[in-house]
Parts: sequence; C-alpha cells; structure tokens
Amino acid sequence: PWCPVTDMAGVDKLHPTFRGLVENLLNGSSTFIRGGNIDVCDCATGDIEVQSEQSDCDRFCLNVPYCGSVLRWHVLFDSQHPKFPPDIVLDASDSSFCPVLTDISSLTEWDPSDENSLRLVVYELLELFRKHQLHVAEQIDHIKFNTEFLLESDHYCRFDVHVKRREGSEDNVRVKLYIQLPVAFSSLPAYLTSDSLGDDQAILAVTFYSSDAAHVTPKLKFSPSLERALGSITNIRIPRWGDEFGSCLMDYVPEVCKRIEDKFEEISAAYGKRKELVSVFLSHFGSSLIEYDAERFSRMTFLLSYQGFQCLVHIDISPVYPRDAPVFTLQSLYHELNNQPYHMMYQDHQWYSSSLTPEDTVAKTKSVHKES
Amino acid sequence: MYKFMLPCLPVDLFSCSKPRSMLSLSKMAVDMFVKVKSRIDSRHQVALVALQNTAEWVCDFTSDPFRICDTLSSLQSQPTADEFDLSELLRVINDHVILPEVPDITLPPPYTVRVILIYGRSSCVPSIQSTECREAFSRLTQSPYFFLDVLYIHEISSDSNNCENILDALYHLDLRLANYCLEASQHTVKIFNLMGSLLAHPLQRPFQDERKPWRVC
Repeated sequence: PWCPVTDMAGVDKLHPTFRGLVENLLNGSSTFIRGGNIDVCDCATGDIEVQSEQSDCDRFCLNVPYCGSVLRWHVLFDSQHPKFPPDIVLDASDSSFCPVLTDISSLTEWDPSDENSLRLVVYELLELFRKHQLHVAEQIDHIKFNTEFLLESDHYCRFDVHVKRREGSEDNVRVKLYIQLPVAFSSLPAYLTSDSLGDDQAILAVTFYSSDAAHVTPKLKFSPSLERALGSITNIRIPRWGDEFGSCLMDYVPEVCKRIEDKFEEISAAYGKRKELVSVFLSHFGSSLIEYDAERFSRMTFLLSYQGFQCLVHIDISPVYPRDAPVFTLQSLYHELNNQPYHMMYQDHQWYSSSLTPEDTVAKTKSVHKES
Repeated sequence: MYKFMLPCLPVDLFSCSKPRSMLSLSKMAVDMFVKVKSRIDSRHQVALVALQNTAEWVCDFTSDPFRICDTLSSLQSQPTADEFDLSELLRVINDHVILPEVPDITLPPPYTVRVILIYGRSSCVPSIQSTECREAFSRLTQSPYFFLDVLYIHEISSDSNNCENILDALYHLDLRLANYCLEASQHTVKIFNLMGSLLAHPLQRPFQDERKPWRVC
C-alpha cells in the first residue's frame, strides 16, 4: 500500500529550534519522494535531564518511502549545540550504502539559519542512495538494459530502483523499479484532484524476481486521493508482462501511459457529457430547481407539480452516462414509508438510447413523466 | 458545497382552535424537510432552535436527520406571549454560527448558512428590539453566504388578527432580496408544498417571484 500521508503529530515533540526544519522537510518531500510521504517518529532527547514526553526532543527517526519499502534514517541533533549539523544514522538493513561525508555538501556546508537545510540533506542522501542502488542493479544485465532506457528517456527518467538479495544467496534477487509516469492530471475534472493539492503521482512498480527476468510483476499505483477519486485501480487494465507489449520497459511503459491517458480522457469526456445534460435540464426547468451537484454533475432535483400537488424528481446520472440512462426517482412531499419519504424509482428505460442528445433526453423525460 | 440549515420552530402555535395539530403539522413538515435534504446530499447539516419567549438551541448541527426528528418529536407546545422579540433568536444564531470567509467571491464557499424561521402567530408582530442585535443582524445579512427564509403559517386574515402587519414585518427582514418569505393559512398541502420550495439550495434557486414548479400536464 501507499505509504502513510504526512503525519505532523511527531513534530510537536521536537525542540523549537528543529521544528521548522522538520516541517519544511515534511511539507516539501512530495517533490522528490515517489510513492508516499516521509513521516517522523521515535522522537527522543539526548539530554538525560529532559524527559522525552516534553517538547524538547532533538533526535528522531525519519521513515522514508522508497520503492515500496521504508528506509529508517535516524537524525540526531544536539539541543546543546543547535547550530551544528545533525548526525544521520542510516538504515542498518543496507550496510553496503556508506556515503562519504565530504560528498554530502548540504552537511559539510550546513546553514543553521536556512529552514531548507534538513530537506536538502535528506534529498541529497536519497539521491546518493538512488545512485548506489542503480549501480548495484546494473550489475544484472537485463536490469541494466531496462534502466539505461529509462535514464536516456526524457519522459521516464524519474525512477527509483531497489535491489534486495536474500542473505547468502547470489541468485535469489528481487529488483524493484518505481517509475513515476509523466501523466497529465490536469486533464481530469477539478473535483478529482482538488484534495491532493498538486501532489498526485502515478507510479508503475515493476518487480523482477530472479536474476534472469523470468518472473516479472508490474503494478500500477496512484496517490491515495487520486485512487479514491478514480475508484479501484483495476479499472485501468495494464497489459500482462511478456504479452503483445513485450518484455522490456521500452515497450511496456509507453503502453501503460497510453492506457492511463485513455482512461483520463474517458473520465473527462463523461464529465463533460454529464455537465451538458445538467445544463440542458436547467435551461428547461431552472425555475423549479431544488438542487444540483455543481461539482460532479451527478444528480439534480426538481420540484414537480401535478394538479395542485407537488413532488420531487431526483435525476441521478451515472459516471458512464450516456452509456447508462439517467435514473429518475419520484419522491413524495406528503407521505412516508418505513420512516423515509415515499419514493418510486423509474426503471423502465425503453425510451432511452445512448445516442440521444441531451435535448432529446429532456424531451423524452417530459413525455415519460406525463404518462406516469 | 453543502449547507448548514437552521429551522426555527415555534412551540407556541396557539393561534387556532387546534393548536397542537398546527405544531404537529409544522413538525411533520420539518421532518420531511430534513429527511429529503439528507437524501439530496448527506453532507447537509441541520440544527434546531425552539422559539418561545426566548430562543433555545435544542439540537446542534448534525447530518443525521433522525436526531433532528427525535428532538422535534420531544418539543411540547407552550403558552403564547404577547410580543415576540427576534433579538433572542439572533443572539442564539450569533453564538452558534460561524460564517465562511472566502477571499475570492467568484469561488464557491465551503458552506452556506440558512435560517428557516417558521412563524405561527397571527396577532403578535415580530420585531428586533435590541439595537445590538439589529446591528448583528445587519452584519449577518451582509454576508452573501447567510440566508433567512421565512414560512409564515397563520389564521385567515381578519380584523381580529394582525396577519397583514406580521407578514409585512417578516418581508422586511429580507434586506438583500435573496431570501424566501412564504405564507400559508393553515392549509396542510400548501404548507408541505411551501416546505418543498424551501428545499431549494439558496445559491442555486431562482428568486422567489421566479420560482415555478415543473408542471406535468
């Protein structure tokens, strides 16, 4: 699953000197982290006279999402010397990653007055980790073939790679690639992306399970807000690895991008159709409008009058309209059944066809209601 | 964009020969209103104020229509007073309602607030007696996201009551001409029809004199 959304709760326990640095890191990490957000935990203090429950912690652990795993980097400031750069203890699970301190300019040239300082350190360390993992991965020929394509490509060069070897076994290798896909989320209707504040990502996660590429599983991942908006990811069917789109990323990744873009176009077109239908209904019956969904254009309610009596008509528009007919529900203003306003749904859609224009749909609706 | 709505229900509808049935009728109309509103958009929230000589906030904002209905069913009728000062109602609203602040008026607000005043007296002209409350009311009505709709249920207008003056006073509460002021003389179907009109979203509905149900004929 996607890593947790940024949790700012741990930040309150930090010494005020370091709080701004960490907040800056947490708020800005989505620009360089793929597949999640960094979070802070295990806050503690190095001062034995201060209890950790107070808001004076000067050391903490960063959970850094990387290729579906989490790197745990411990950051140790010194509240007695707040201007000093922190010590960083890297994840013990990957002992082969040992960057040289002099290679990390954001640490050697630490600026305590710059609130971006910690974010720059984490960014730089992560870049070094990526390069290290890439170097390890490229020792495997078919992985190198695929990563070279990604590196040389203009569109797919934003990726992470992670090599995990079972201890004691040179052959039992799992190589995971997280490729950030260059998909235009701006083509989606605003209501689908309004929660994410511009941090949406589409990631193609490809896992190579053995050293000869015989077993590969690709998976598509979206940022949580987008996944909620788009519904289940299985709505976008990505091709099986090894089928007509080949067994290499050069052929596979562009096809996945195309399928996502096609899906987005389908969603946008359906949104446009719903909006058009709503506007035609409003132009005919606006003076009897009760309410309509001005965000998704998925429903509208009007007040209907017949021989001095009134009722409501709810019109629900499917996400796949015009393929599916709008659903009409008449609801009484006077009667209840089982403690709810009495209503009756129209199920008979013999008059409906997906080729009907919105104007024709309105005209048919009028005659259907008259008959009912 | 959802709404916070506030039906203000008079518990002293003593103006006809069957006072309790009028209160029951108002309750049923509000009951229908909250259930239908919840069906239209479950994010709508409703609170309830009971009006006697004072205004009492009897149920806080909730999106659960049954909570409102349970509170409604517990309201009992009370003796009518000779005058009705809207200041108490305005104080209660001021204490419990925060209007949204939207820096760009072209953008939709996160929510709107609408008070639906159901007034049932036929002899007592409502007024705002407190200067402070009149100013507070003026501030509330200046917000484009605050609405005060009125449903006036009254006896048949005659020399023995004050219905015309009351209706006039209620009309004059609408300072922006954006609100609905509806009246009915204890006609059951008409009361429910008018509550149906009040279901309309204040930012999407037509002006009162332009509203017209979709006639099936």
